[in-house]
Amino acid sequence: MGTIKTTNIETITGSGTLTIGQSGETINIPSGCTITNNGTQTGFGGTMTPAFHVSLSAIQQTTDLATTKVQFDTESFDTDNCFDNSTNYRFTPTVAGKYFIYTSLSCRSDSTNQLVNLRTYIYKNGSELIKSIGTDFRTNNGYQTLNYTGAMIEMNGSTDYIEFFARVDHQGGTNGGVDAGSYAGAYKIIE
Amino acid sequence: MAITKIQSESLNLSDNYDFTGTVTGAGGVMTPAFCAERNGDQGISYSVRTTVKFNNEIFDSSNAYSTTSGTFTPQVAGKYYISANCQLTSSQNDILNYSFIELYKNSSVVTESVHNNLNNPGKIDNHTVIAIVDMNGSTDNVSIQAFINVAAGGYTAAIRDMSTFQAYKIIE
Repeated sequence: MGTIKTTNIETITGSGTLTIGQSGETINIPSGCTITNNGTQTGFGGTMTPAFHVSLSAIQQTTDLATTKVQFDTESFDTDNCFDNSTNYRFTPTVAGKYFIYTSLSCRSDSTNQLVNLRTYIYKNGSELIKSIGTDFRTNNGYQTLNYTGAMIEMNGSTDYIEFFARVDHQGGTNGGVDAGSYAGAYKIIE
Repeated sequence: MAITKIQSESLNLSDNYDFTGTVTGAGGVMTPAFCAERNGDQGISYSVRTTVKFNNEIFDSSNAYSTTSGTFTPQVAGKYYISANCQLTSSQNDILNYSFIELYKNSSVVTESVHNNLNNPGKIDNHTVIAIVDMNGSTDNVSIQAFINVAAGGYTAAIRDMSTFQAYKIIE
């Protein structure tokens, strides 16, 4: 047991690695000390990934009152390739934790004054978890509307997955769609 | 002789370090965090500001949200990303004149969302508020207030099932 008092510790030239401590032990930085990092660090803190942001490249037609999965096909980014933008259109993060998940859907009727309302759903593992009802025009029908919703959802990092659904109600059974540019995304929060 | 302590006037970490063990006290965490929702409609009187009681916690990392009062009172000082999404509904079609929700910090409004349908009343308005709010980590709290105005008396109004309220701390 002893104390080294010095002002500089360097690696042996050519080795490039300085190992401090060993498994099962603790390296303690006392209160009041400051560590100044002017180099590169890894393993400290946490990251807010996996994360993704996707959007619709073109209007997705929907049938009146049918709850329809939104097929987000365009990725702005997908840090860990956890979003499937071609087959199942779902987010299956491979790291367990809590995720902030959001979506903004814009929808329209095929013709003016036919839109009653838009419902947005976030599904977890095939079941409805979050539902948001957009402006309900009822008999004073509209044409377009926008609905944003977000929630924090716990994911197990293996099998849990998230999908986004829309249900558009049109007057008289006409149809419409979810507009291009509608988007969704998620990121992990650090705990 | 094993060395248990390295003491320096200034330790300059200019090399690269790769920590693969357990590190505490470095970086930061985004907690306290919570997410709560309405389980069932919450009936409210029209033209009366009412605190929304998100009565079902999806999670609450630090027990800082109260389903009873509808307030989030984090015990760690810092800035928090806070958002809520509420659907406000009238009991009848075409009578909802206007509605709003407000994000309150203590007794002051931080931000609000307003729908005004006066010449074309509907049935449901959807509201979203988002803000980053500085909290003192002890007494500061945030909550959501809702307000609905309908065309005539004799009707009921409600905050819809599955409206949500959530927050997390940002790392500074």
